[in-house]
Amino acid sequence: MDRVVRLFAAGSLAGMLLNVAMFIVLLASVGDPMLFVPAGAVATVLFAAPGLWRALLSTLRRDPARRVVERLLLWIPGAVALALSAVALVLIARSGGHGTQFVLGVSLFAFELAMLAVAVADLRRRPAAAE
Amino acid sequence: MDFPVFHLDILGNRALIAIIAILHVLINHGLAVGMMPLVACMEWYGVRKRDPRWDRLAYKILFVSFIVTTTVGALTGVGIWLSVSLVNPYSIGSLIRVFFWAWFVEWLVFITEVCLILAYTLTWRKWRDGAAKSRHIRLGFALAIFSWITMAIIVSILGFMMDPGNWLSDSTLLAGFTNPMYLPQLAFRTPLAAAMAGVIALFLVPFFVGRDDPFRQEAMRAIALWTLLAAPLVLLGGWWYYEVVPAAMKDNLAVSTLTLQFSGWLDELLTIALVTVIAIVAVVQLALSRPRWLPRAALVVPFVAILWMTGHFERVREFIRKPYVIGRYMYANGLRVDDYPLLARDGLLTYATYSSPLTVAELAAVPDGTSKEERDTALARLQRGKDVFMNACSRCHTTNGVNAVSAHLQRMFGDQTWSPSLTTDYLQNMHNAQPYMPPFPGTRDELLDLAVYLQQLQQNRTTVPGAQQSGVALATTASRQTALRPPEAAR
Repeated sequence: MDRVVRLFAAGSLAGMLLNVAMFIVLLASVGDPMLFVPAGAVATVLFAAPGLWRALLSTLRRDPARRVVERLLLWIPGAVALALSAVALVLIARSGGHGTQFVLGVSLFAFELAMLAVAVADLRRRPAAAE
Repeated sequence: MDFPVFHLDILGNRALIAIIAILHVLINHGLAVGMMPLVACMEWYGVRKRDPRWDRLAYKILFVSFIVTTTVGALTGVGIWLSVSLVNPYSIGSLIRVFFWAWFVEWLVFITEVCLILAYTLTWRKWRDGAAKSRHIRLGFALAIFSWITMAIIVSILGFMMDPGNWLSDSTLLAGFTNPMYLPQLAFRTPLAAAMAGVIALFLVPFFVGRDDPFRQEAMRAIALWTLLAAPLVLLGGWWYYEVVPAAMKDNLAVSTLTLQFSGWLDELLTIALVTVIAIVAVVQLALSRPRWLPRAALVVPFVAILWMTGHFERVREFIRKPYVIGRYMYANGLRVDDYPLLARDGLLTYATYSSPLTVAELAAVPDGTSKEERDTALARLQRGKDVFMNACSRCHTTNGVNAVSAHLQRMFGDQTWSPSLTTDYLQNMHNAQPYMPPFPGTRDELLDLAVYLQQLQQNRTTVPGAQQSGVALATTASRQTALRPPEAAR
């Protein structure tokens, strides 16, 4: 119980991860790819948009001290999560709403949406930490 | 057939090559071709950031790579050619004739690579600052380039074995080197090596940097970034590679990915492969975003998974080109496609220099209650059948071990008597039923002799020693005449 309380108290990332979990459980329990794929795609875009904006701003900000690795770290975590979310949605769309492929697609989508949330949360914190 | 037949009847010849070759590929790709540029980048990055922790970590990873590549890696590299020369000397002979100068250059490059890795490792602590450090970093990148060149040359030979392309009509080194499989395979293996190196380095980091050291997280993030940058290139290269694999080979995918017995499980295996790839990417993603969430045990998952997948890929690549060992040029039994009409006319054993003596168990297959003449005739026929088996079948099959002919006959014919009348039609046409099997190479009489030899395997569960254990008999003119005697006369 203490852990759950700490999770909620940890801030916006923990709350966002909980939202992701509830959202996926809800969609998975419906078990309809026709609903899952568009809803999942919209959720992915909503999650990715603020991160994309912050990564763009951060990239455009000239900072000679920033190395190639740091610049890549702005983009790669979110880009990988975004690409694999799309793969997961394709798996779900092809699964017919049941079987191993559906379970695999849902698991992957949940993980990638969580990773996207983590990447966006990191981008929110990064300007202060990096500069 | 100028060489005695080396044969391992329990493990199987293919398993011997597979174990050595796969081990070598894992070391070569993961710890040399992929790791050397990663280590050089880590050293360079440490200098750029003025952070000596990168230097220390890079040196420790290099030292592991140095020890493994110069011992197990070098031994298995030689071991591949030694084992292949033993098992199928004709294929290696053909490859040496085609790729002599490529191999010679590869040897020079390899020697240079060995000198460079020695210099790179041994000068690490001496060339620490200023111009010396810059020189040392350049040495690292030079080593990375030479490691890659050795792979780039060998990959051409591997591609040639799958599809020689224009070489079949224009037998030049250039035509062989620029075979259709070359660039796609190189485009696949290069990022695969980088990704493997990243996964292995991630696995090693916790051994060299303490849990509470913040550098551990920094190092894992940077190495995970390296791995994830290589990952999409692996997919693209893999897709290109798959696209150029000839359709006839793709028909072998189920058997080459699994075995004949489990070929119906291809979909299940592909699902497992997909889960494995996702598991690798997921752990590397966590290492990139939240390295502190990753326990050391979790890093074992991508490490084992990428080793398994690469090893399995090599197994598939070796099998999928069947029935050939060199595409459309030489069958897996070491017999050239162009020689088949000659062998069908004169007989396989006409050109077999050596004979493999019958074992005690094989001799016992001929009943005692017959006249000496009948017994000698039956033994001569069994001997011919065994020699046909050793020359035409034993490169891939054992009698009672791995990939045993007895197991295949049992699966097809069950407990019926495996008489020649039952098995010869299958043996004659097996290449039509199973496209990965070469056609039978000899005369009809030799086919019957082989069938007689296979029949005794129904009762005889002992193993057959190769020339390395039993020795060989030189096939004399007299014995050849016996071997060539028509079965009607022999009966």
